[in-house]
Amino acid sequence: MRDGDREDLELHRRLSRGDREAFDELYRRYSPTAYGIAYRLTGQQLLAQDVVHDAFLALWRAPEAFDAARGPFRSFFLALVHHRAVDTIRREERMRARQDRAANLEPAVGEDLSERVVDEDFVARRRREVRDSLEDLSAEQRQVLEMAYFEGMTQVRIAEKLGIPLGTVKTRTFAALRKLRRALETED
Amino acid sequence: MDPAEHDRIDELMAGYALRSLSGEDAAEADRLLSEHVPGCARCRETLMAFSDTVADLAFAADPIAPPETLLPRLHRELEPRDERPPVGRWAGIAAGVAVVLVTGGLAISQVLRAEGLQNQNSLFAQALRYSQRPDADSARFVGTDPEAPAPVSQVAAPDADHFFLVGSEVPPAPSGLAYGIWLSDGVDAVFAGTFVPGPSMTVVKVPFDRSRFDRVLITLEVEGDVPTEPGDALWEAAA
Repeated sequence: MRDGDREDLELHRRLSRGDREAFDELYRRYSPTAYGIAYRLTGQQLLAQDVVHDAFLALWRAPEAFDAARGPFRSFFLALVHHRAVDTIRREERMRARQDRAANLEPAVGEDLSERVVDEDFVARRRREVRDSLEDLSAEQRQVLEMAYFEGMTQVRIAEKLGIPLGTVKTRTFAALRKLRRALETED
Repeated sequence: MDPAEHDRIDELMAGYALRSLSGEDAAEADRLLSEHVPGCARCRETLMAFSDTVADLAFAADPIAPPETLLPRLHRELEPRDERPPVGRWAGIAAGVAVVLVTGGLAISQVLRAEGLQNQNSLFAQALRYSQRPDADSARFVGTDPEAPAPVSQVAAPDADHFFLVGSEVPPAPSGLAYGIWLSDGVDAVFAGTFVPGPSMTVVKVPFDRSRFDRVLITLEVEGDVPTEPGDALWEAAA
């Protein structure tokens, strides 16, 4: 287990006992990554704020949802953020389709939120490792992964959009994740 | 299980970890997750590995400092640990279930025997644990007659892939009919199955994708049929 993961575990243990300082420390560590991914998916500041807000509040209210036996805290928490962001954009899409109206929140186009964020060392290291590993994927593998993860698309929709068979999307997705996993395992 | 079958499951688990399955694939993944994966070390390991990898993809996005107002907003909403919502919000439901268990023991044990003791016991325990989750919420279904309370409630949590229907004293469906459960997005409805109420308590676990649906309907359907359109709606609840 990495030092950063060990520290997260201790912070989570303290948070579970109601320690607000531990909550603040986990917020400091993960809110920029969480907000970054929520904004990338939703494309709207207010929606991204709601996603991150709800994820941290859920962590406070149900810390027992994290099971250390199933992986590191960061995996649990960042998956929680991603799931909420995907649910949010699918719900928004459905509402737009149903009500035939444009979203009434501010558009993402032209926004620049790139305020400098200083990562914890272990977060910065993981960020580099993930980005390097993504670069090693083929363009086709990276494409399906990004459409699924960053745009919240289903595999059926990806197949439609790319004009390729669903089976090809499945195969590429699997190959991409397997290759990424092996690369990141080597780094662990 | 032959290797080709495991290859197929691996592909499904990759899509599942990315939350990108839909339709038949999503249903097949749900089935595998309840029937095969728990007993297969290889598949459990694959799913955990893919889930970790997918979580790490968050680091590929540029980090952005959230608005400064967000942490103070959260601070205002953090209840002290001993004042978290479940105590107040869930005491009623949990106690209600407990009361039925204790005072209605004979009736319930008869139901459980009729419907499969192991299964109902397990569902009952799951629903009770689930209802005690701090992020879980419950809502009573509403019928066409607002004065007549529906005998069914739902217990749901935001991040769960299922919810529970908890019924108390649900009357038997008319002869030849069964209660149907439909998941709806307000336009289309997907049939989720039927249930037969016990004479006292009924617990049904329903797989649910919150990103696709936002309401649940209970209808009357022809027994043994797989309907394509909802029958007469008896009760409805927002999910």
